[in-house]
Amino acid sequence: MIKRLIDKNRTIYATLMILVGWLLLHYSLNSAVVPHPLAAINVFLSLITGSLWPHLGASFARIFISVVIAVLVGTTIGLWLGLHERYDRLFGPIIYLLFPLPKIAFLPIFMILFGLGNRSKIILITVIIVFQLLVSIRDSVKGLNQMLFYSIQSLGATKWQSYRHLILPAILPKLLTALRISVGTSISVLFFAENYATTYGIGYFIMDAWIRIDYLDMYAGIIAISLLGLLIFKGIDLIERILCHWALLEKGNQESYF
Amino acid sequence: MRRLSFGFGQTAKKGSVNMIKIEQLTIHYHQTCALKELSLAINEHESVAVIGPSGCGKSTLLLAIAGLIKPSQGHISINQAQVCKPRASTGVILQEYGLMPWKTVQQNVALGLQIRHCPKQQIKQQVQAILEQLHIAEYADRYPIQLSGGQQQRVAIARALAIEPDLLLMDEPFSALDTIVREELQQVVLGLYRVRRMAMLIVTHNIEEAVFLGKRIIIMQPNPGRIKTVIDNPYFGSEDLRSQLAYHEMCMKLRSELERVEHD
Repeated sequence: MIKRLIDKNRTIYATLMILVGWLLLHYSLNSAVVPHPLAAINVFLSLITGSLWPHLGASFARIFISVVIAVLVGTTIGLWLGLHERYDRLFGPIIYLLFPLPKIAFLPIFMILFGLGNRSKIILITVIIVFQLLVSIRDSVKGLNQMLFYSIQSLGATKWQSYRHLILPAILPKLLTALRISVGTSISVLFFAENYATTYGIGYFIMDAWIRIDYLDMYAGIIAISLLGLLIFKGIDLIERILCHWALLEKGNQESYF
Repeated sequence: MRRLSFGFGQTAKKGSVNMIKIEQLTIHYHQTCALKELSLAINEHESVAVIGPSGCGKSTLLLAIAGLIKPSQGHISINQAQVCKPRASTGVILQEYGLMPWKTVQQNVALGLQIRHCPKQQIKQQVQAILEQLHIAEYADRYPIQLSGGQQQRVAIARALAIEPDLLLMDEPFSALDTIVREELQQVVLGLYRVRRMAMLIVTHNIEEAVFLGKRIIIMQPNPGRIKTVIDNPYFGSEDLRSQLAYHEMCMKLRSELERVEHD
């Protein structure tokens, strides 16, 4: 009964649990650094109708543009490498070396090359998440069963038809999973990137509140950025439900091992 | 080496017996010689079973006839046209069915026709007819993962037949199924073979399957892959074959031939 209730209202359940944890932390620490959750929510609600919007909008735009560029570039290169063994042999090792590199440390270079404005921020986020997308697309293409390729070729499929009926539908669930991880990463990077040369963005808002020692405002900002992340996650879920119904069926058939 | 050049798209001459002609076929695969100088002819509306131990190149032979892998040397021609890519009227059923997990039964069966840009209405009718013929119409909107192995294999058969092939190639199609379902589907395939004027080649490692579905049984041996013996099977297609003594004698004969391959 309770299990079913949780299954049906997962987001509400998670929100309540986090609020309870927050409340416990608030009472046990008894410090202004962890305010009462309801107080923070109150401030958030009063700000969301006004001054928070431009910040949220700026942050969302930066994430959205970065993710779109990273998906296009990452998918294209990932497919190309995954489908052509000889190029992967050439570029695979280089990507392997570049992947764990802390690209965020090159921020000064991006700032000098692309300016202090949105361009360097978007490029920073893109460069960081494109590797996650690229590698997971490449590996999922490589993992495709040869029999599927033979099957579709035997039906007379051209290269483009193989993309349409086999390759793209096969990688879509993996792409969405990679996208979830990337969105998480991009929000953290965004917070960092919005700490210089801007007065718009939720990262700036949080940092500004921090400097003003206005912890309630800071928490309102954290709530806002969390909701933004949640909204993007829900969007990805929706795409998955519409386009990858089959993959969800496969997931549903897996029992837990322990 | 003799070079044969045939025009593409040339239609079969009426009365020509040999539909598939394989001459001196050699295929190197991952640095090993999968097939060496294999020659074989298959007639129109003939049913051939290929059997042999693993590594004898029987799947390679099938993929080459399907136009999916290229010969290193030698030639394959079907209806006088050299095979260098998949042919429009060759139906192929591979191990593990090769169904697209993201397509429903209906969409999987329609795939070949869709690739050929058939009109939507025609695809719908044709797919519906073939689904009914194979008794899977009720699963039309399910995904492969929601079906049993036997049902999935019926879908694979339906997909291969939807393009109305004159040649059906099957690579160990029933190896993952239990005996009852396997025999049921062998019966289905035999029934379809009788109704449709098509040639059939089945690769198998199952002796009973070879005797049941092969009018001619080709025994292959490995290192390098080549033909060992060809057995004619006069009992192919007779009624209630499985309950006849002759069927079991044929199986015994084939078994002893295969054992000889293993001991060579």
